[in-house]
This record gives sequence, structure tokens and C-alpha cells, in this order.
Amino acid sequence: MFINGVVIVLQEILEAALMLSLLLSFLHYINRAYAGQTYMRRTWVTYSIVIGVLFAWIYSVNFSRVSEAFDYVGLEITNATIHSLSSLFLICIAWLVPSREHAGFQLNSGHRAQLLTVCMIAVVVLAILREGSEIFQFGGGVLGRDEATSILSGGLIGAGIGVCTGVLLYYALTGLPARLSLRACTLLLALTAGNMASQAVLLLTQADWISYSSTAWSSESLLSEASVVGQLAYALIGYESSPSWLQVGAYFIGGLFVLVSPISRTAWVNKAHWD
Amino acid sequence: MNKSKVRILLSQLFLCLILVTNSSYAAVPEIELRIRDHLFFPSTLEIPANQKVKIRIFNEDPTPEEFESFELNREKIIVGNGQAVVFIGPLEPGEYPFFGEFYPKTAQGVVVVK
Repeated sequence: MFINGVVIVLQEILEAALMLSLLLSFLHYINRAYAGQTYMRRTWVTYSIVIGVLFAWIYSVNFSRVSEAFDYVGLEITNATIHSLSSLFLICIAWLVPSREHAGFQLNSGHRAQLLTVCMIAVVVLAILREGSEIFQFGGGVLGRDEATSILSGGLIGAGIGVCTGVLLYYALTGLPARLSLRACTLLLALTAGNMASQAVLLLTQADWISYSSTAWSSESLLSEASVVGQLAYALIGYESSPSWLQVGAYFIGGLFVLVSPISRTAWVNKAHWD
Repeated sequence: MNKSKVRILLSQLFLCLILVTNSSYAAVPEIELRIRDHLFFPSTLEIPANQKVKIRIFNEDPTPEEFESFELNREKIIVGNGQAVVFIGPLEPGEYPFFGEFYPKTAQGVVVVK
């Protein structure tokens, strides 16, 4: 049961940790682009983690009630809402990151930084709310059982591995040369926004709120979702071995909104910015 | 517009959204699955091919369980002493294993599509 605790907590923590690392890497890029000046502070990170954990706890306490709503698919509806909002805020972040491309998008830097901070807080709070509530559910069920200590220590180790992976991603992303770093961050942002949209579609299909669409492909034999690499790919970019066409469509649209943002043009097209 | 008009408009919009998105007009066959002592009963669910099916899962244990299947692309927590609904399919004939993520050693099952 020890390993069970490791795996479950790791899966949940990993998604939130990778999301936070990605946002912090963007912050690093922004502050670096403003040579020497701090465009955005990081104090919001602590607050959003605390708020996220609090919300996750409140959600977890009300799990039964939420679960029974909408003829027992309340969890899907709530989680689909959380995923959609996450996708939306991630797209807003892509459009708000300051770049030289903002000709028709006049916002003074103070407002822009504030809006960007609000979006980043929202993304982190939603990620922790989503993943944290499941950890609380799992943890709550474990308490009082004989193997509680073993499972909970497994959970702590899982949390540790998750956080370390997030830290590794942060240093990998920020350690790259500036342009490459921005490309990697933007691409990951696009994939994450797409992933959130696709998850929302999956949850609504599971609840039968949107129509079934056939499976687009099956890559289970290439990369199993149950494997370690499969799990990591799931947490990072939402890899699924047999997605439906609607999921693929939502993923594509979510990602596209990020890839047509000014920051993408800075990353891939605008040479002047980098000379 | 006053408040009540806005409210009526919003509720109408919401209703339209549900009508457009909700595809379950036709009766969807429902099957029951129970969780007891971290085991699934029955552990084999037989369902017809190319047909959407509603699985109502009753968790008779006091602890929560997560119904999960990579093959079915489904994942859902069922609270202790609670119930939940999961829609699956339409599916091609074949075997689709599922498990309880919180107790994967014992909670194992398979959906057989014929």
C-alpha cells in the first residue's frame, strides 16, 4: 500500500507542480526581458497555494453533495468547469505576456502586470483545487486504517517527487538560451491550454452532457498510459492513448489560441526582438 | 432590463444549452456495479456493442474509491457510502479492464463488449 500512496499523490501533485513551474518560467522570462527590473513579483505564489489548498479542502468536504448534483454527475460538471476556466486563463496569460508585438493592444505595463498576476493566481488556485481535492479524498479514506502510516508516508514521498520534478522543469526551462526558453514555455503553455480544454470535453462526455464522438486513434501499443513515461506525458501535456475526435478538436483549438498570441510571434517570427 | 428579465433570459439560455448538448433523449440501458470490501461486484460487466451504457456505481464501503480505466478513458471518484453515474460507449466488441485506483490490488474488473 506504500507504493499506492506514492503513485496517487505523485500523479495529482505532478500536474499542479508542472503548471506552477511553467508559470514561474514565464515570469522568469518576463523579468529577464525587462533587464534588471522586476516587472512582476512572486509573492502571489504563496498566497495562491494557500488559497488553492483551502478551496481544495472545502471542495473535498462537500464532495458527496457535489457528486449527487445533476443526477450523480456533479463532479464531472464541476471539474469540467474548472478545466475550462483553466484553459481560458492560460490563453489570457499568453495574450498578456508583454512583448513587442502589442501594437493594437495598449495597456500600460502596470495594468498588464496586474492582470497577468490575476490570471496566474487563478490558474494555480484552479490546479490545486482540482488535484488537491482528490488527495484530500484519498487521504481522508486512509485515516484510521492499519496501514495509514505506510500510505501517508508513501504520499509524502510522492509529493516530494512531484515537487522535485516541477523544480527540475523550472530549471530546464529557464536554463535554456532566452529565445529557446521562450519557445519551449510558449509551446508548453499551448499544450497545457489544449489539454485543459480536452479534459473538459472528456468530462462532459463522461457525464453524457455532450455527444459521444468516435475514438480518433489508439496509441496504447506505442506508449501505454499506465507506464511511467505515459503518466509523465499525461501530467505534462495531457497524453491520452485513445482520445475522441471532440477531445482532439478541443485540444487543437485551445492550443491554437495560444499559438496565435503575440508572444508566439515573438518566440518564432520576430527576429528584431532577439538581435 | 430589470433583474427578473435577466434571470428569465439566463435560465432560457441555460435550457437551450442543455437541450443542444444533452444527447440522452433515448433511454440508455443502465447497469449496476457495487463496491464492497474494495472489490467490484460483478467484476465482469457484459454490455452490447455500439451502444451507450449508463453505469450506476454504488460504493458500499465507508471509504472513497476511484473508478478508473485507461481503455475506457474514464476516471471518477465515488464517495464512501455513496453512488455515482458514469456513461461509457458506444464501444467496439472487446475487453476493457477497469480498476479502483485507491485499492488497485483488489478492486479489479472488466467490461466485456459483445
